[in-house]
Amino acid sequence: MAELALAGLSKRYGEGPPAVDALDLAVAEGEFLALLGPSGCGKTTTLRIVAGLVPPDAGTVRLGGHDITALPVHRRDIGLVFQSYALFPHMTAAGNVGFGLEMRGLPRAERDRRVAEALRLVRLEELGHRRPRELSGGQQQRVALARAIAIRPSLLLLDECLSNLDAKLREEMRGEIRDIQRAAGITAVFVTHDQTEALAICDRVAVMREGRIEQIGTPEEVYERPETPFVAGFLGRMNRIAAPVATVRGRLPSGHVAMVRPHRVRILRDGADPRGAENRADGTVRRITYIGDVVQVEVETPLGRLAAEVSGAAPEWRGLGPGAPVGLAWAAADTLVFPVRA
Amino acid sequence: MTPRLLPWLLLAPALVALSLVFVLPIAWLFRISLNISEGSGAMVEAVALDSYATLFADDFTWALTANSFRLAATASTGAVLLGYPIALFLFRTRSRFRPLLAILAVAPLMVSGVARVVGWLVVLGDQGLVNAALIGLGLVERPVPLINNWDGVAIGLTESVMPYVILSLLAGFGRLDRSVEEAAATLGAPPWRVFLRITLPLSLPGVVLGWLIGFVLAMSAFVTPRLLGGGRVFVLATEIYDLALESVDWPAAAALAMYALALLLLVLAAYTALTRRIAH
Repeated sequence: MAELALAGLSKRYGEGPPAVDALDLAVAEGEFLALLGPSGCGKTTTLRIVAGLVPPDAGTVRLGGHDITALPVHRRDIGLVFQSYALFPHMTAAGNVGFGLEMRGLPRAERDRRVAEALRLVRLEELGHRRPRELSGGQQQRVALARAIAIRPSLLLLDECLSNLDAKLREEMRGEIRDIQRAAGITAVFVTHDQTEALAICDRVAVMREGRIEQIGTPEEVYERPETPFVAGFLGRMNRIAAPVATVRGRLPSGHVAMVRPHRVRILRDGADPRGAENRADGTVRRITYIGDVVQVEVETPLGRLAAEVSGAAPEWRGLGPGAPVGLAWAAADTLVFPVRA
Repeated sequence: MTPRLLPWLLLAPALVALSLVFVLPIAWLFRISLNISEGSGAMVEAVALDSYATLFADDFTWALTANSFRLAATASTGAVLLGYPIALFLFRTRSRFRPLLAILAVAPLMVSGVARVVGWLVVLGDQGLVNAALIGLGLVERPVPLINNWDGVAIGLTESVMPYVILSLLAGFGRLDRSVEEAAATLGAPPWRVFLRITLPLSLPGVVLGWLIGFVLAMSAFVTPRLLGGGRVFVLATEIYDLALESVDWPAAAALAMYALALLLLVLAAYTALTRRIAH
């Protein structure tokens, strides 16, 4: 258990733009941090540099106060869960989990005890004798997790490790990962391109773009108070409005763009009262997407096509269909304003 | 045309070709082995096991078998040991020269076997490159005999089967996955332990396949033992040649050929049994 500090980390592959560009990042002891970003933003490269699988061109990696930049992989004491799980196909689940302990020269009895403990933690105590190919995707993923934590690493790295699971299992696993990480008090970095995953299980989220950290903060901070249009657009759905609308600071100045989250936009039927919503746009329904718990209503307005999101149980969308006239309203306080970058 | 017939029709050209060039000649050879050869050298049509009786009564047959096995095993093992690092490098490299390097590795196949052996004669001979270097460096006083003996044949066979071994190794490396090796490293395994515990076991199917192909090819090789052995190295293949073309005893040559074929089939059966065990 230790804090991680990255300073001035850079990596460039070949002639292209840098994959990681002078990146600074600090992860506190016991913290669960998400590196979130679209593919190619440098998040996996950052993770591989920390693990020691890729040497950085510049910068330092410090773990628990020690500079480990030049330390070879096998001496770093970092648990890594791979996207593909990377289980050893010729060993049993228990063999996989025990591999790191074996490398550390632990006596047999101690090893068996800790393997059993790690397998119990991921609820696979019955399946230790099975080979990876005899396990389901979710079980393989648990073995990979157990293998990484069995060595009681100073740092746990998770590389898109839920992306190969189906939606339901993914939700279940992310809760488990969170519980295990918290119980063990391990500092952890979770690389993902899935914003729901990042927001749901991490203490803080670092949104990456083009090799740099665009914004870092608690899930609520990055979601509710995005500092850049990129962060605003990447996390959750967002309406982008170029026309002048009311904002907290008055009318939208030129050279700026306004954004509002669909679930902050209310649907007004039959000239209902916008009640404190400073912004109003009338238009016709283009499309209604029913997802069960929420319903997305896309409306063509003079401000462009705007989406509103209401609860599936809400009465506002009932009876609406494409072509129906409808009013949209949202508060100035919910309107985010960003300067348009040249 | 029924759908069930279609696969057979697609296979037909290959099956016909295989029968014509492989099954028929062997059947014919087997038929010859049942004939009797008279003292005069004339072959008499018969259905007899005389040539097999002579073959198995002769201690020389067992000596030949041992020689062939020993040489083939030496050459194949040598080729696997030398070819493994090359194959592993070719499998992993992301160099844009990879295709070129792969071609280089199998380039010896483009030269006729005879030409290659003659090349070895030049390199390994008493006045050859190796001996000139050894003497020049003062390591030895007189030339080390490297041709017309076992060592020469072993060296030549190793080189001649290496391209095939490398290709089989490459084909057998399918299960090797870089991230699995990386996982082992993150768990604390230094490179040599990653190799012994992960890379080697996962490449074992390739190693076994490569060794087998090398063994079979080395065992049936004729040109290399003949030319580099200088008439002093006797193996099954050279003896078959001698019986057929020097002694003109076709039934005996055919019987020995059938025996050699049976040995190779046994080796293949052992391989199948072994891979089945590895797979489970």
